[in-house]
Amino acid sequence: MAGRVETPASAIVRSRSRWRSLRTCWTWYLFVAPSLILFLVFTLFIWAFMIYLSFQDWSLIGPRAFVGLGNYRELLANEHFWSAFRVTLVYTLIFVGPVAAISLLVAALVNQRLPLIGVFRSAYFLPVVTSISVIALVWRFILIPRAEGPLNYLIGWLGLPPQEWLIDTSLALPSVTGMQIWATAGYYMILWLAGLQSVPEELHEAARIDGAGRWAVFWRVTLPMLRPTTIFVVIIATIGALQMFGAVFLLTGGGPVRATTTVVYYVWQSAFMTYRMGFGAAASIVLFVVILIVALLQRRFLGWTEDIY
Amino acid sequence: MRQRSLCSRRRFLAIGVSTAGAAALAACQPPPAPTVPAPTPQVVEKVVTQVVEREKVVEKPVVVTATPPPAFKGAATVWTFPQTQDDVASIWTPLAERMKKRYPELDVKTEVLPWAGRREKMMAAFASGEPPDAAYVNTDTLSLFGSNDVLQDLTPLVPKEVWDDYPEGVVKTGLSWKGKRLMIPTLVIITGRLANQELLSAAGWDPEKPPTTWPDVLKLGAQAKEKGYFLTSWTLSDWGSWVRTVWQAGGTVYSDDLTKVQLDQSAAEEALNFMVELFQKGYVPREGAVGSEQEAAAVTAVDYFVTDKQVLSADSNPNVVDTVHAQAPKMKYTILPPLKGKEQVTGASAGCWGIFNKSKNPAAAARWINFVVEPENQGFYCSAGGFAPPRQSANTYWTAQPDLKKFVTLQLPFTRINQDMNYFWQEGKTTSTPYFQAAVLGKSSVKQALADAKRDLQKQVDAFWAKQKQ
Repeated sequence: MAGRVETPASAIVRSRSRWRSLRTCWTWYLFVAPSLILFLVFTLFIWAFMIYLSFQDWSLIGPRAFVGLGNYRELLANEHFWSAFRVTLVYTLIFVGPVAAISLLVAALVNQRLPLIGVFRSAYFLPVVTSISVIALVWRFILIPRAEGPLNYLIGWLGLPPQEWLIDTSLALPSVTGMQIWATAGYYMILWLAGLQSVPEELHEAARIDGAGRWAVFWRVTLPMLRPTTIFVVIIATIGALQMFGAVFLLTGGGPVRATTTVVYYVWQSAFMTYRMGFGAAASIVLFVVILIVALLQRRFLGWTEDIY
Repeated sequence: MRQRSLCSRRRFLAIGVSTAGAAALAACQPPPAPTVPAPTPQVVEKVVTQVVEREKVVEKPVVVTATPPPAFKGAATVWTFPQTQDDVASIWTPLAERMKKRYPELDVKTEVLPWAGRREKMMAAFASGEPPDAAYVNTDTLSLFGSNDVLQDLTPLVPKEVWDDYPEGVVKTGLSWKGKRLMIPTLVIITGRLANQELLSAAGWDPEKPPTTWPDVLKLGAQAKEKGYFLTSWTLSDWGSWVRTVWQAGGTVYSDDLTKVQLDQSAAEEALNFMVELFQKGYVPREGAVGSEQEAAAVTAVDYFVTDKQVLSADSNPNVVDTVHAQAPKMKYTILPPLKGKEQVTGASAGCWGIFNKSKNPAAAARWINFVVEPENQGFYCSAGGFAPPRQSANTYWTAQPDLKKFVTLQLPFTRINQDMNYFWQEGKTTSTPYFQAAVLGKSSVKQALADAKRDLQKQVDAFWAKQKQ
């Protein structure tokens, strides 16, 4: 088949048509422009600048010096970076599953037509809108490493000895994870709730008529219908976990003995405590690549496709 | 019906483009070269000031310089960080009123920013080419700002007699980078401890003779623990506490020329052994081992002391006196001199003013700085903020409460400012804390922890100097 031949006349016609479309739709472009500009300036430019920085040696205020792949070479040979990488992966593993399951459970509980259910929903959501500084301060108190600490007092009822939650190198990361699950479950609960409420009631009714019990209805009807929400929650929770910073910064300062130093905390230390912006940028790029790969793998294995809905 | 517009689209665009072009050209034009004031002292008066100098009180006549009156027009922006609950009301509004009388046409906008990320904020503003004209700067930024040419040399901007009014040690060691005086002190932060007299008695210690040496402190720690009290609290990420402990053991963290990290010396080993003993024997709350300096301090440093669970306060700045008055008004306490290992010593750092090199109004900023460091104004500033004034003549105007004055004057003879307090502060803290944690939690020996910390920190110091040579 012969290809389309571009004639001067057709080019003029096309150009005129584009100009007409621009004249007709300029208001649409006007509305899109603010967010487009914000995206270009605050996302794309910063991202490009970070890539540029990762090849530089820069203290933020001094002159920049091109170091090629020097930052990356140093990073990949740095034991503290790999330690932070391990901590981040472990944190992601112990955070994503539990937070997804707990928030789904809570969502299922508050997805009822009961009096004052709005109060319960708000209560579960409250940590999400509470400042992480306040949350961290309260949790430092809860996790006091002696018998009089609230959590130790509670486990004392079970006959368990007091634990040094944030001080024991093997307990510090699970403790931070626990706090983070508590602090963020409300957000995922809202996502699940939206998913649950979009499942048609007729399907539940049909299943019940067919003799399915509550558990079977949930397991065989509700959960499969929540697949899009599940994928979204898992991907978002994973990305959030790989970018963990605030709770570590406020609760443990990356300690004890780097047991809670995540990659983002390490990036912050490199860039803003030891003033190595280029090195920090290189670590950020590596983290970005890891997040991208993980997200793509999740997309593939969880079956995220166009016809998911 | 289509109305005739007042201005055609083409004409509107033409006007718009011309206006934008003119504005851009105007914006590109460099600001007029600043004229730096040459402050000529006009009023000289003698004030008899009590100056505490190395364990003796000396009555010394001090020359007080008043900056020349009005005839100065300008504007400047100053960044500062909170020293009180409400700096605007308690410090800046009264000072602005005083300044208005002196310089009716000097318009200074004082912006009080949160402490968190103060270095990053200043660095980012400087890097973007839009820093404030002047800012409150701590001496812990000296190597960073000095090596990157961030601040102006204040030597020619502040009269010689003002510099002469500062204690020599403060000016000599604390403010200079390669011979340039980049900062002028506005307050001195001296640390010390209080002892709860009732708890001392309860622990079987004579409240009239509180402990001042390391062995005594450890002995009191054992007695206090037996009675269910903490001895004191300690934050491992507090670099200042570490530095002071090394000094008390008779050493320094860095060599005098700042090229060597001396964590492999016996003083560092003794210091870390002392800290390890405090933690491992349970004399201090264990939670001080983790967490950022501020967060750990928020939970451990003050709470246990003011709630009668801790015999000695943490090594704190003089504000601890105010805190005790506010939160435990019934507590009877004794103010302690610094602890003594091989040496009895504590440290001080200075809060200062500096003018940025990219300041657009350096003349106005200099005028303002000269105004706020005047004895009366510095005395007022430090009284309001609960600090000690570094200018000797400002003592006259220092109206802090008696206990706060006593706290400061008791520490002053033992106070040292040296390279450890002013250089590689962040680097030292960030690098060493995990290794100190390893030693305290028994994950590595003291020797190994110090060797590891020295290796990592020395690498950064070497890289810093290598860059300086380029």
